[in-house]
Amino acid sequence: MSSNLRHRVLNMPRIAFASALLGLAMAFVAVFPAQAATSAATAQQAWPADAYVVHVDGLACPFCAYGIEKQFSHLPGVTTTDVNLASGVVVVHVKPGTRFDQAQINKTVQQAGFTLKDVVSQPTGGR
Amino acid sequence: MHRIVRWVAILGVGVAGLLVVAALVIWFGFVPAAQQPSYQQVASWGGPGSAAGQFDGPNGIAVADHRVYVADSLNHRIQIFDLQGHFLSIIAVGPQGLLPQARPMNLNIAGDKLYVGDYWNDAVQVFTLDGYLLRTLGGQQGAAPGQFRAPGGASAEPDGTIVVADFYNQRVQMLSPQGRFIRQIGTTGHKGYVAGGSFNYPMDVAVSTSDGHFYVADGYNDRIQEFDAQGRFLRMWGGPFGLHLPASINFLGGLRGWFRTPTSVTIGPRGDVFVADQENNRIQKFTADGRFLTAFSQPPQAPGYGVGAVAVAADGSVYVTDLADQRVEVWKPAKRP
Repeated sequence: MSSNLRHRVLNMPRIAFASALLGLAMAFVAVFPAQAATSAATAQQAWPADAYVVHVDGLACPFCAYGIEKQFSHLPGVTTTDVNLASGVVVVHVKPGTRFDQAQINKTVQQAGFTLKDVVSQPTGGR
Repeated sequence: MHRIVRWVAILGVGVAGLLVVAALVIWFGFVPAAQQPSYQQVASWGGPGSAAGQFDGPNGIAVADHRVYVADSLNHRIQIFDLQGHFLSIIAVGPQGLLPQARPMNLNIAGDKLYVGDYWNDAVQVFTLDGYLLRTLGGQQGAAPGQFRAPGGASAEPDGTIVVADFYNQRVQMLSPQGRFIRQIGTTGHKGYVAGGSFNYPMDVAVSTSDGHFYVADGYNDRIQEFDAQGRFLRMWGGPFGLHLPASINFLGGLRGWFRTPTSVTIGPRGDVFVADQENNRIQKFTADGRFLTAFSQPPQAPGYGVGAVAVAADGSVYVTDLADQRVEVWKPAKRP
């Protein structure tokens, strides 16, 4: 009985189409996890946050660390920037109410000479 | 089926043979043997912190006149010690000192002046060896002639011409002693990976007192480039012909005479060239024309890159900053067994 019901549900065109899309999305995430995260972040236009955790490709030496710190310091609202060379993670602390979008962060990382992998916002304290 | 297996086997043997030939060519053609004994560490001082004698990011070092100058980058100061590591004085942020939020990087002494690359303020500052500010060049980020974008190091030729490793502008600038633009090497803002005279984040310069030739630590090209006093390219080294090969970045860069991010370069009293090979955590020593002499290192106790910068005293002692352990190390040639 249950097998028959499943067969009928899956044969409904809309359900089949949605299942195919879901399958494609799951495959994309499995193959390109970083891009998927970046795409998800892009979908959010500008997030309020206490800090932005930025994953970067190519961080190698103090020159890199200082360069990206300096570049983020030019953005309004940034208070401090912590760079972890070993993990390639940059934590950008901001004043309350500061909002950055993916494009701003991507541009800043590129101006510092690096490639953005993904961004995660740390929620503001009140949320 | 047998035919396919046979072709796969032939292909495998062929590829393996090519790899063996390539390895032999690289090993015998581009991995020089040491011509001198190594060095041994004889002293060290420092530790993490902000008190006198402690460091937070010692990214530059210079030695002259029985004094050791250390760029204490994240403490925004330059500390001065005697050759045994006793703290003497400090050049700090102030009206006659470093600019606000200074991030001093490589230090170089030419004649009786100390040249400081201030990465944060896009400036080059010139001090007397007593720490009195003589001149500030630049100070506003830009790509115009005479402006800098995060200079990593500067020095001067015997006639006073100032040479600056202009890190983010991908060029080396030559300026008059007053800071007037003379010429540049490299294309502003454009990385060059292969040709001599093009750069991929130049980090430091060292000038020979004998002929004014200068050497550039071409950081992310993993090579050293040498120029004459007029800025004409002479040679480069670090892997085969000094060409920036992608494979050398992480795979082969640890071979003798090759580099992984040379961050600092200096010239010893006999004209030899010493290079801080940061990602390999070692100092490498070469003749003035780039022939490998020896290398030495000691892994830091703390995690992270150890070697930051290198300087050589008149007696041949080598002073090295250790970024991971936040200290200065002194090395001397090891006695032959």
